[in-house]
Amino acid sequence: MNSNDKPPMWKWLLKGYGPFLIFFLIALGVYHVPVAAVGEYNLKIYTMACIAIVMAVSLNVVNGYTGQFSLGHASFMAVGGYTSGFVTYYGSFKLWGDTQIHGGLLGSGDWLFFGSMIAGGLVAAAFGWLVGLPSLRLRGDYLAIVTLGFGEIVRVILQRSSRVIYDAEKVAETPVISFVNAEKKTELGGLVTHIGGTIGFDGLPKYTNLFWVTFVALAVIFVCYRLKASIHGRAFIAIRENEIAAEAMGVNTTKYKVRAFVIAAFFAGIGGALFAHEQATLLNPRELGFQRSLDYVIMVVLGGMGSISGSILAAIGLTILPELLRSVEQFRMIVYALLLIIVMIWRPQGLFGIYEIWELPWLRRLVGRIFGRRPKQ
Amino acid sequence: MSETLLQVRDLSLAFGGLKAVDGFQLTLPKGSLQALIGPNGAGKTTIFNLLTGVYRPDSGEIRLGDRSLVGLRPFQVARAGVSRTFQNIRLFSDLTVMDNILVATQMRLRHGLFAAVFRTGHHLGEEAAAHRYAEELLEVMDLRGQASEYARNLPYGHQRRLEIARALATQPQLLLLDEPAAGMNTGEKRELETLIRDIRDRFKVTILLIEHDMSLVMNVCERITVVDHGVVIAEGEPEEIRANPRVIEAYLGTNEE
Repeated sequence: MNSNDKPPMWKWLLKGYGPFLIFFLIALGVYHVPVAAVGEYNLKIYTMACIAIVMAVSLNVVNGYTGQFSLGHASFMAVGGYTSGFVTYYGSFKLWGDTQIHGGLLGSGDWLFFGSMIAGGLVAAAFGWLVGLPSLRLRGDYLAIVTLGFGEIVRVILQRSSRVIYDAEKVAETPVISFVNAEKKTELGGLVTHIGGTIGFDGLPKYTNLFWVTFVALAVIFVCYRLKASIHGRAFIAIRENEIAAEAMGVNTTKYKVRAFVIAAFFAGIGGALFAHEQATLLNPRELGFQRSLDYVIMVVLGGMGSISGSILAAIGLTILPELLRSVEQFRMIVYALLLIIVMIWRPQGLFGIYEIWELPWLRRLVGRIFGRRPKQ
Repeated sequence: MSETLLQVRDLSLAFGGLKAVDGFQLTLPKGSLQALIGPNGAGKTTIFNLLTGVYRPDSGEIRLGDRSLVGLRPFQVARAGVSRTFQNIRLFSDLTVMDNILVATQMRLRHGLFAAVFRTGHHLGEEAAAHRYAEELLEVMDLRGQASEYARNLPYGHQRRLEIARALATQPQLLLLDEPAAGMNTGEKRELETLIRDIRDRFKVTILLIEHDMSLVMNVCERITVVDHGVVIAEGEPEEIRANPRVIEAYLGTNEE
């Protein structure tokens, strides 16, 4: 296959990067929404929904597109969150001697935060690669158990860490990483071990704001959609559909499975960074355990395995629903569970199955009837 | 004699104590159209699985041109130029007809995932080329009208044809068809005969097919290899095979006195 039909450069630059510019502008707009008019409570829900979208859509790459089963998505979030929290918290001390927010929107502090998000994503991606490796040999339930185990390991290690150092002077004199017993190299020390333990990593500067959650959520949705829409993305889905056939058609299934894990973990790490700097006062390992992983799996299953729009809707719905049910606090879990059971009986493939909302067969028929023709794919 | 494309020597595979394939030999000249027949359980599909890297042989040699295929994983075999269809159809049923073809073009893409996300010129160019190629292929296989249909919604005969189209989309040198006529009615079988010959001439592929329908085998194939219990019991032109007593014995049993 040749690439003679390469379009002119300005065209693909616009197509490739233009959307990110638009997302940037949308995020700027959202950032300037008057808080008083919308209400702080609603904006908080919006923020949580955006983070849930990042997590659900990225998990969809593994569980939905590729048909693997990961039960440890929140642990990648934890890895990313702690990494990024570590960078902003101790980085702030090193740079400015305190952990206040520095600069306004896109000021120096925001760039530190941006860097920490990327760092969190990359470290999480490295762990994603590690967890992705067993997926070459395991499938279904067995893979789920491996990812579950990984999540528990992460949680326990985080809980065994030491308390955060709040004192600027002490931070200044502690090395980032050291071996306490230098000759025998027996004990790990330095700032990396002071990430909060069971109490949690508190005191993180609250960098997550409407701009960042909006921009990241849009970007992650967009990237995951483009993955799905490309020929490379079809290869992920081919693995889910029929692994033997995919392999026989020249798809390196091993490579693609690991790639799926790495991509999902990268975005989960970024989601974790948003989460960490949202909580502001508390980033606790227990918050990012099995329960949260399960929440994201439920979103993906409910929305439809492989459907991005399904994951988005489920993420929004399942973020708002518990809030709506706050008035009937004691029945909350019952309603939640019942709803899930009903949906699973009614539509075991999830709300949208593998389709995007605009690809739903009945919707296409409906549109076709109204406009008198079949809509193009 | 034209040059040899596939050369298989002494291929053997045992599952536990069962010798599924035992000393299998096969030579396919470039551009030939050969059948692999034998009674049920003779080891035909196992041979296909050995050729495509699904199973690793206990011993023996498989050479495509001057390259050995033994020990390669299935996707590497596909990249080396061997493609196949499956006895029980294995389409990507929740993907469209078009996407089924496109997956098979993936291995020829030179751009990576990053390029796909950022829609670089390289990506757009290659995708456009792949789409054009897939459309041509669907045209030839008479599936153009169903390009945006989901594969699982196709009628059975079309699913078989799509599998062949998908196998061709990998641009193979050798095409292995595992019971392409299974479940087809007589009319469809006649069409298939023409199609198989067409494919060979148009795409310049060498074809090896497993088939139980003898009239199709006799009409289409130039040479026939007969296996039973994993062993080659006869090889030759259709007329020779038809008259071969060992073949008749394998299919119908011996005449006990």
